[in-house]
Order: sequence, then structure tokens, then C-alpha cells
Amino acid sequence: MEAAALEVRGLTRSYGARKAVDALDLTVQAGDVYGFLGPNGAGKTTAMRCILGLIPYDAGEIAMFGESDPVERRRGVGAVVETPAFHGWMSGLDNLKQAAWYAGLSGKTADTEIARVLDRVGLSDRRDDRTRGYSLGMKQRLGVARALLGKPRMLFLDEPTNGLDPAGMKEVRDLVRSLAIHDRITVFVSSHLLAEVQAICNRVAILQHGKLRAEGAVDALLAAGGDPIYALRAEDPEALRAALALADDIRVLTDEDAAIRVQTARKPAALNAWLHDQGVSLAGLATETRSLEDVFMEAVQ
Amino acid sequence: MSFPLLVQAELLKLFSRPSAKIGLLASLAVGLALPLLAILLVNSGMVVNGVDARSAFSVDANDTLVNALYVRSFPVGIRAFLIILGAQAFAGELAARTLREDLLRPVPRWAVLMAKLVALALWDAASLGLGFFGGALVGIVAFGTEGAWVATALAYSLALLCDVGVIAIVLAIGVLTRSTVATIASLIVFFVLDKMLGWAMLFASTAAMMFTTSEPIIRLLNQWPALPSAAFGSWAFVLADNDWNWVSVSAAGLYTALALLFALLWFRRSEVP
Repeated sequence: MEAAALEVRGLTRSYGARKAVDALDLTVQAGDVYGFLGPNGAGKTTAMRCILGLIPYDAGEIAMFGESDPVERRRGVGAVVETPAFHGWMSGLDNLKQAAWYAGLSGKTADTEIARVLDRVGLSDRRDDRTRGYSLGMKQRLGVARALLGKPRMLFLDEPTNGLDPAGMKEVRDLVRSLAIHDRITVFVSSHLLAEVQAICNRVAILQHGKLRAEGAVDALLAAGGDPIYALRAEDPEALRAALALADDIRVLTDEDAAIRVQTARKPAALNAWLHDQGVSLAGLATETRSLEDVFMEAVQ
Repeated sequence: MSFPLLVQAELLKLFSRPSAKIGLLASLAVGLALPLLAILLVNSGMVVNGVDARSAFSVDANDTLVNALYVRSFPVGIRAFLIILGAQAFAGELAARTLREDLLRPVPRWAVLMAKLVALALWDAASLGLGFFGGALVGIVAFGTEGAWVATALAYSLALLCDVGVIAIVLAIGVLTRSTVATIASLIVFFVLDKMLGWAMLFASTAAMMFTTSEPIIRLLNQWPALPSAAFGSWAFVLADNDWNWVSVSAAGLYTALALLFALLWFRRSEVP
């Protein structure tokens, strides 16, 4: 049986008395697009840095494709941690050249590989420009190109769409999806953008205060929610809020101006009738499917 | 992991830095300036003690190269470029987070640090070589091939070894402070003050011998060649006395080894942002 792409057992890292990562267990199988979720400060970046060997950890075991040596396990792995950094005075091509040499590629192999990754991220025509002049989106793409040097089996992406405009976010999202589907690369992506993760990942882990709160296949987590979810719109939202506060079996998931999303075992007709009895006149009642955001909120509340 | 490839990557980064190019130009300028000044002097028609300057000064190509080496090192000189480049190569890359990108590759940290040291040493060799060959070319054309070439070449080679020690110190301070500015400022100030302390000790030891001073004090003052700035300038003893000052050479070796050991051990457990 093939070893897991990533296996983390009991990973613990403290800063003074605070445990940034607390006995974390993760298993990422080859071929997964694995979402690593958590609110800001949950310990995602610390965990990723420990996994990638950038910072030491207090306890735990980490193996990638069965290799646990801190240096050797990075073989066949590419990573983009936060905003990728480049030598601004050098061209995109030279930045990739030095990265290729660091990756152990030389001569014609390095040249071919650089041309391939530049083409893959659509930066071939800007390769001779100094990276100082690159936009954030271009830097992100060049970072992915650098991570792809040497045809890695696994790619780590830490908040890959941070700071990008909607077009840039879509570009990166499409690229990640394409890498997983066409290049068959296992992807481990950390993000706090839940819709983005739901769109591209097949498995997720949710981290809070350094602890794993939920983990599993996205479909299974969405299906495991149980009760249906309704989006309610009332002519008088205050009256609706007051009525919902009276019911123990109705859970308010989100409360925004446009609609209040609730979860309950009641049927739509029964819910409507009960609200009517409470003096609330509904302008709309729609049944919604559970989103990753709901799973996330349940896990971290 | 291929160490030569890591060195190649570091060389690409280093030699493309504007400060590295300016440093090489400055080295060439110092190398050329001394023979050109000598040419100006002997052809100035100046009369010294009733004698024409051409006869009064015995100048050869070697003298100008030796003087260029002194100028290059006074008090920090071209070595300031080496300190700046060393600080940029480690502390600068740590702060700019480009070091992180390299460490994401399957390379051990000691190899990254050593590759930077080798690349900086090769830049220094290029810098010394430009000064030496540039100066030698002009000097030979103007004054011929006379002179103590072996001692001069030895001094230049020793200067390179001494600079490797300085690079080790720069890397060690960079690993410790993690700041480019702190590394550059602390080392330049340290080397200037240390050189002044060395001069003060030399002066005091000479003065102490003229008066009745206790033997331990004189012995202590005579240890000035072991101070870092004197130790990393051991080549000067070869030129001045045509002999090795083993106290100085040993001190340079010791400082280099300690700095390297410290840098490697400290970096092994350092957090990389």
C-alpha cells in the first residue's frame, strides 16, 4: 500500500505557555486536495511551518510519502508560504534558475523545467522582467511556478489567494484545480476563505486554538449536518429575531440583513405556521444546502 | 543535494547584486589608483632634497600593489563591501524571506550557510584579483617586472584567507542578530574600534619599554596582534617582516573556527519566518 502523502501525529508547538499547535493529527492521502481551515491565529501557519521544517516543534512525528527525515521529506514537495518572496533585482527567470539549482536541477534539465513551469502559470512572456515590477498576482503565480520545479508530488499552499483581486483569486483557484486534476499533484491548501476551499478541496481539516476540531471528506461533513437549513426573510426582521429566540429547537446559523439562516428539524410548513402564530409574517422561506461555512461554524463554536 | 549547485545559485544572487558590482569596481579602482598615482608622482618633475622625483623614489610595480592592499584595508575599506554583502546574503535574506524559499528545498541548513560562505569568498577572490591584476598590469607597463612578487602574491592570498574569517564572523553575527543593519553597523564599528585599540596597545607597549613597567603588562600589551582586526590582517606581517606572525595567524584561525561553529549550530535550530 502506498504511504500517505502526509502523516502528522501528535504535532505540538508552544510559544511560552501558549500551545500554538496542540497534539495535531493529520492524514493526507495521495491525490487529495486537502483544505486546512481555521480562524486567524488558529495555528495553521505554525503547523505548516513545522511540517515544512522552517521552525522546530516540541513533539510529534511528521512523514511525507513515508519519509520522516526533516530534509529528505521535502524531496518531491513544493510550497508557497504566504506571499512568495523573490530577489527583486533579479528577473523572474533568474529567480527560477537559482531555485532550480537549489532543487538539484542543472543544465538542460533545469532550462526545460523552468520553461515548463513558466508556461504552466502563464508567465513565459514576462520571464525577463525584474520581479520588483511584478504585481501581487504575478508574484503568486511565479511562486507556484517555483514550487512546481522538479515536478513535486505534493504542493503546500498557504493562503494562496491572500491579497488578490477576484480575477486573481479565480486564476489561482483554477490553477490549483488544474494541478490536482491534470498534473495529479496532491495539494494541501491552508485558507480562511471557506467558499474557495469548498470549491476546490475534497477533504478538509478544521483547526482552532491549535487543536483539530473536525476532519474528513467535504461531502461527508456536509451530509453529516442532520437537520435542514432555511433562509428566512421577514417584513419585520426584529419580530423574527424575537420569535426565533423563543424556540429551543431552532438554531440561528447566520443573521445578516437580507436573511436569517436557521437550522431545525421542523418541516417548512410547520415552521411557517409556528412563526405565523408568533405574529411574524414571512416574506420568504427557502430551503438551503449545508455549506462548509456551516460545518466550520459548528466546529469552532 | 548538490553543493556545487548551491554555490552556483548563491553566486548568481551575489554577483547580480548592485552592491557586489560596485564593490568590484571599487576594488579595481583601488588597484589601479596606486600605480597611476606613482606614475604621476615620478613624472611630476618634482624635486625632493635636490633630487628628481624619478630618482628619489624607488618605485616598482610590487610597491604599488602592496600599498593598494594597505589602502584596501584601511581601516575597513573594501572589507566594508564584504560585510555589507555578507549581511545581505544572510540577515537580509532572512528578513526578506527569500532564505525561507531556499530552505523549502531538500537542502540541509549547514549546506546553505556554507554555500553562502564559499560564494562570498569567491566574490572576495574576484575583488582581490581585479585589484592585483589590474594594478600589476599598469605597474609592469610603467615600472617593469622588478620586485618581490612571491611575497606580494602570498600577502594577497593570505588577505583572501583573512577575509574568509571575516565572512564567517559576518554570518555568525547575522545568524545571531537576524538584522542586516545591526550586522553591518556592529561589525564596522567593532573593527574600527578594535583597530584603534590595537594601535593604542602597540603605542603603549613601545612606550612601556622606555619606562620601568612590570613584565606582565608589557607582555599583555604585546598581544595586540591577536586582536581580531590585527588577526584578520595577518598578511601585513608577511609584508612588513617577511615572516609569519603565528600569534596573529592562530588567532585568525581560532576566530574563524569559532564563528563558523557558532553560526552552524545556532542556525540549525533557528526559526525561519
